[in-house]
Amino acid sequence: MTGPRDLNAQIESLVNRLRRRQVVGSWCVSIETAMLLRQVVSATRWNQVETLIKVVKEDVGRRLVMAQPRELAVGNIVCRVLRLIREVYNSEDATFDDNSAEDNDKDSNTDDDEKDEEIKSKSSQKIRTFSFYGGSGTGTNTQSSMINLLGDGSPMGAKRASVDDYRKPPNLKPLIISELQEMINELENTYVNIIDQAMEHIHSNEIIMTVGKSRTVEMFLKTAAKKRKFSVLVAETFPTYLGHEMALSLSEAGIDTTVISDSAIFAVMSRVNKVIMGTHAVLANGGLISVSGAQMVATAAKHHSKPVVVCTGLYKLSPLYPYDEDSFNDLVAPDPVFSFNEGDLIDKVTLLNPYYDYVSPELVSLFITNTGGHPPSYLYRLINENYDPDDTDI
Amino acid sequence: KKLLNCLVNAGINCTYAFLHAVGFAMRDVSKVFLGAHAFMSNGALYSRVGTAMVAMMAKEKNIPVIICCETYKFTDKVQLDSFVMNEQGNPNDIVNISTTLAPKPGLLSEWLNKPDLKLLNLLYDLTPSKYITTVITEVGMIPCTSVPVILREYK
Repeated sequence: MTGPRDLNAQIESLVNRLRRRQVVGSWCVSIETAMLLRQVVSATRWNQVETLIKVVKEDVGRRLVMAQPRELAVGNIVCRVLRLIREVYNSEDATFDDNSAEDNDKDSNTDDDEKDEEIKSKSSQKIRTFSFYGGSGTGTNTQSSMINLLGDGSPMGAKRASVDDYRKPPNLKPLIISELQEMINELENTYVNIIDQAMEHIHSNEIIMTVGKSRTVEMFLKTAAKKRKFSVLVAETFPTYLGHEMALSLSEAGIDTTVISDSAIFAVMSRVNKVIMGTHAVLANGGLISVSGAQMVATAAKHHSKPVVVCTGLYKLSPLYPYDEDSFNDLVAPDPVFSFNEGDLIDKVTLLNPYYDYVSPELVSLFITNTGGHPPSYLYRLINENYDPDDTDI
Repeated sequence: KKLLNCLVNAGINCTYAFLHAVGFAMRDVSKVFLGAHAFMSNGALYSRVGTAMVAMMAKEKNIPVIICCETYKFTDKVQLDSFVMNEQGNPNDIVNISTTLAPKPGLLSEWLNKPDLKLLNLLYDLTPSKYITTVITEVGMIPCTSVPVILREYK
């Protein structure tokens, strides 16, 4: 068993690597965060669930999020873990204390009223099917938000206080850890689930446009290329030139690839059949935080009425809402735009070089995730299933 | 950059950004001025590649787009999209990158050896008339759909 000192060292190491941007890519970040949180759950000493939640959320979670606030995947995983813990606790508690089914309220909003009747009668029979996505709907006795609004919506902590003193479900820890392991496995299989859908969306002789370099889109296109013949137009994505890497990688897989400059995106859009792109993060309203230039592509596609498909794993879905678009953006060094040896114009001119772009949800037609294809309007359900409203202040 | 030089020397406060920042920069913009290479009889603007992109983004945000164009650039031709007539520049211009952010400069320098990799360097594009608010010419301010009318006058 790792002692608290080792655990602290691990946390410090991840915090430092995040701060120095040594962990690259949302997927790697998610997996590392999930594994670290699993360590935290198994190595920390806790008697009550509140303690565990506090440790995960405030001690570890907040530190990780502060280390790299632009990497929204960290916060997503922390929120997911917290939700998991609460779910496991609630369902264990339900079976542990079966006469008072009333007491086991929870502020989660996942069910219709009809399902509630079914579930209340089922809860005493202790049927608990625990798949990560279906779990909250079919197994645990959750109540709809309307019922909670009318009075019972006290936070879990207040009610639990009296109950916990003398009744603690005994095998919480291994359950939580096994659920966490399931989540990690799901994260590791994200790409497999996404590329399985590739054949449904791409047909022969299509011209597909993409922007930036996304591992997900690359694998998506390469899978489809095994059976279908199509062409890809890659925008070079100045100034990071990620488009060049993407084009090289795609052409090496035998896909007919053409690189165009960013300025020609509108010009070629009339010949493109669909736009497939990846994203850095997905926000709660369905908007994207994507590489700079993605907004141009999406708007051009909308004007030509071409569908915009976003391939992303669900770990990139964040419960945050873009009240202010700028809060998610970074302005990076303007050197590529206007370098120092251009002369003394530098003092008289303001230079802009944003790294990310906000794409509004109206521009996106479809999200292809590891749980299937969803329109932007469905994302609020996914957020309700996977995150708790109490956790968005991490 | 030459334009930037002129404007700064004239004492105008300038901000310089690349095309990828157009969404970000468009928030503070109240008018857009663009130049023209030619003006088609269906009111479409034939200009440097990227013009259409800027005009479209401005139209999205309801910002007026003003084209400055002399009447000798008006033409009888009609054109619907950027593909039917265009000019290709040197594809090696896409390969040549000299910025500090690029991880491997000249990543595509072997593109000729790769059978599936092509580079396309378009020089011009067509901006549809619906994105253009008005055109400033030496005969006055006209809507872009009046281009054939002016041409008729000259005949």
